[in-house]
Amino acid sequence: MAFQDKPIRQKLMAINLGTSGVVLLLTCTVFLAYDFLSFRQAALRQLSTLGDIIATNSTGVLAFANQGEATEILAALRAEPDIVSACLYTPDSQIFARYPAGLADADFPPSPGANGYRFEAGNLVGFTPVVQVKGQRLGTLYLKSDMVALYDRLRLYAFIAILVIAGSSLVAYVLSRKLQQQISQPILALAETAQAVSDRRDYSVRARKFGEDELGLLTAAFNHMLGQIEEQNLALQQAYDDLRQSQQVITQQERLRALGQMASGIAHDINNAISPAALYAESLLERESNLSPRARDYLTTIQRAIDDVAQTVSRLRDFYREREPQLTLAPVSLNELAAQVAELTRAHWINIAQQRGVTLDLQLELMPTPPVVLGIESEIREALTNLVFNAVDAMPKGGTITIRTSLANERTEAHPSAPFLFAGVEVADTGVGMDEETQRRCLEPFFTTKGERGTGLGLAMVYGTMRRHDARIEIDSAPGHGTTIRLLFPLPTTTVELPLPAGRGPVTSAPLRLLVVDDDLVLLKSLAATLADDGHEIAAVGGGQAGIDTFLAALQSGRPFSAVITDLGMPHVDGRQVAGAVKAASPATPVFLLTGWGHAMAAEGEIPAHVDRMLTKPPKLRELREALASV
Amino acid sequence: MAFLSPNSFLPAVRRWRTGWCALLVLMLIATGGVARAQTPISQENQVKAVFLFKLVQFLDWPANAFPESKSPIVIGVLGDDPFGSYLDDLVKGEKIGERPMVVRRFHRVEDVAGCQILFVSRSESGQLNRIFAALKGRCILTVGDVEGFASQGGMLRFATEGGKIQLRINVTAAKAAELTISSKLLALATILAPGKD
Repeated sequence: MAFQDKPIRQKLMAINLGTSGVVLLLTCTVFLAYDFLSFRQAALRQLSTLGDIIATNSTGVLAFANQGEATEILAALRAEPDIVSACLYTPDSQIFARYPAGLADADFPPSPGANGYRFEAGNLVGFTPVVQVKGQRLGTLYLKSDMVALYDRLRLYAFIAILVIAGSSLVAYVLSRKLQQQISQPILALAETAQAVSDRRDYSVRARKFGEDELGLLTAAFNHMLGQIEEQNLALQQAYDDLRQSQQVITQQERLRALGQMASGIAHDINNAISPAALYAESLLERESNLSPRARDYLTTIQRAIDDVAQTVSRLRDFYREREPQLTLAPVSLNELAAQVAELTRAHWINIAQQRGVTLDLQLELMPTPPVVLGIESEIREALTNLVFNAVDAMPKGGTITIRTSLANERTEAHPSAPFLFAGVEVADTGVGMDEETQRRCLEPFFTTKGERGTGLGLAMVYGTMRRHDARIEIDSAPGHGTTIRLLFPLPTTTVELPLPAGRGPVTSAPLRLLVVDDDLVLLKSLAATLADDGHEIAAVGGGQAGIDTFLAALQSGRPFSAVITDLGMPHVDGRQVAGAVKAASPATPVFLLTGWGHAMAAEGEIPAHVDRMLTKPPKLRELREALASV
Repeated sequence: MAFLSPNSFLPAVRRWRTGWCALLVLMLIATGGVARAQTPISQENQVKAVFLFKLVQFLDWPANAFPESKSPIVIGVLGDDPFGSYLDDLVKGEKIGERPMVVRRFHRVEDVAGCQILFVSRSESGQLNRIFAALKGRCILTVGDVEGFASQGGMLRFATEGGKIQLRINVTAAKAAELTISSKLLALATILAPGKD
């Protein structure tokens, strides 16, 4: 394992022991070297001194050639065990006396060398001149000393050094084992905490702080950082949850909008397709008094089937259509509405309960002060009725339905004292509940959990109604725990007035000269025929440009049209252009625009200029007559 | 030794000696240095000559023994010279400190002057007492090789024993002459108690 991968405890130990060991070793080495050198010097000096003494003592024996005395003097060297050999030379380089006595001439240098002592091949050797009086050399002393004592001393020193290093290392080990914890413990605690945080993603743990030193600061900073991360994590989670929720809401709304567009397109086509059938059937049954009973019966059946189709399409329209602009919202009491719905549906759910042999109950929980909202009473009633029916269907084993009115704020927790912004009416059941997928899709048209029995348009219609009221739907549900669907209406900011009853008179009109323009020739023909049956003089034209030409020609010829009925969507020249041209030539002439998108366009403020009235497809004779009566 | 009263016959001896000496000088002049160098000298006498030369190194004279600081150290030979030119050759060019060494020969003790070491030849052994008496009180180391030399009042004797020359020293006599003999020399020598040898 490389050093940098080792645990910090071992590193600290290694650094401590290594440092003290190296320092000790260095110290010992320096001391040893110093001692070695000084001992050498001392040995040199000692030998030199010894040489001087012996040389001084040897002057006489050399001068007077007393070999016996000379040998005796040298023999005194026995006391110095380091001295290996010694001898005295006469001035003519003859060995005069020797020590030890048994050595041969060959064991000594053949002749005296330079004066002084030096190290040679591990020995200390040298010569001292023997002089009694200056200038009179009597001979030379040779001394040879081995370095055994020095090496013995070095060995002893090395042994002591090893003992000291070993002992010190032991002490250093014990001490640093204890002391390194001061540094390693906080780091280890920090590392453990970091590990725990990264392993468990638990930002609530905190590292233990051991002191106020740098490591303490580090620990404090780390803990502070953890706190911040924890806070941010929480905030992030919160934001994520919020985002996810609103994304879900938006996704659902987008989905429903897309579905609405699709439904609107399909409805338009179907309406176009069934319009001639409806008109002919109605016209035949009305005008042809000599029809056979079978033909009349068939026509009636066709008319009923067309009515069914038109009804389905119109219910689908309830899902996608926008609020009709000419319809003003009236004040509606939610309490009253809830009571009405309870009464209207009583027969239905009692009947169902009896059929199934279960007990169903419906309760009203109403606000003491009735909440009043602006809306279309019939639509809201229809929506609540739908919800009650759904609740009944959701409780095959019986249960309780509760219709409840309430007042609510947007975010009650944030502004507990804020004025109420919403009035709610909810239908709660104790039935099977919905899973998440079902909750998500239940508002889509044709989505149903009731199989053949369901149209899948109930909640879609409720949704459409709520959308037109700028209201919201809240769904609380869980499988097995029942469902609560809450309709939240915005409370009106001004006081509301009582609704007025709408009157309705017979529709008649004088015979008119009419220009009818539509690129759908079948629809054009049926429309023209039907209006002709009412006594009007009809000019039917199959295109926008042709329509304009016909209108201008009639104007010039002095027989202008009383009114123009034109389709909106046509190739090349569309209804808007036709209307523009008509108004340019004759501003007083009313123009009726016939379209499947009439409501949607009106809602978006798109009633084209020069158009007096929008008529929806499939055209109803009644609507047509109403429009023409205003001419 | 007072009964000898040698001074009575000294002038006669001197006269004889002078004549003999003159003859010798003549001979030396006639034969040159070669004759003296060729004079055969025994091994023993050669050693004695060397010892005589080396003795100087182990001796100390009082300051008044020399006329001045650079005065030579004089080795004198009294009586017949047994060393021939050998001693002269040894001494030639040698110096003790600033003092050169010189050899002088004397025939009569009365002639002895300006001398630090005096070798008394065998030829003078008959009148040792007279010689010692004459030299008494002078800073001269008397050296000889005859038996009883040291015990009779001489200071140092070369004694031949077993083929080797031993030193015998009469410390009393040396002290009387105010001479200092190196302990190293004394260590090698046999120290004589007065009256023995």
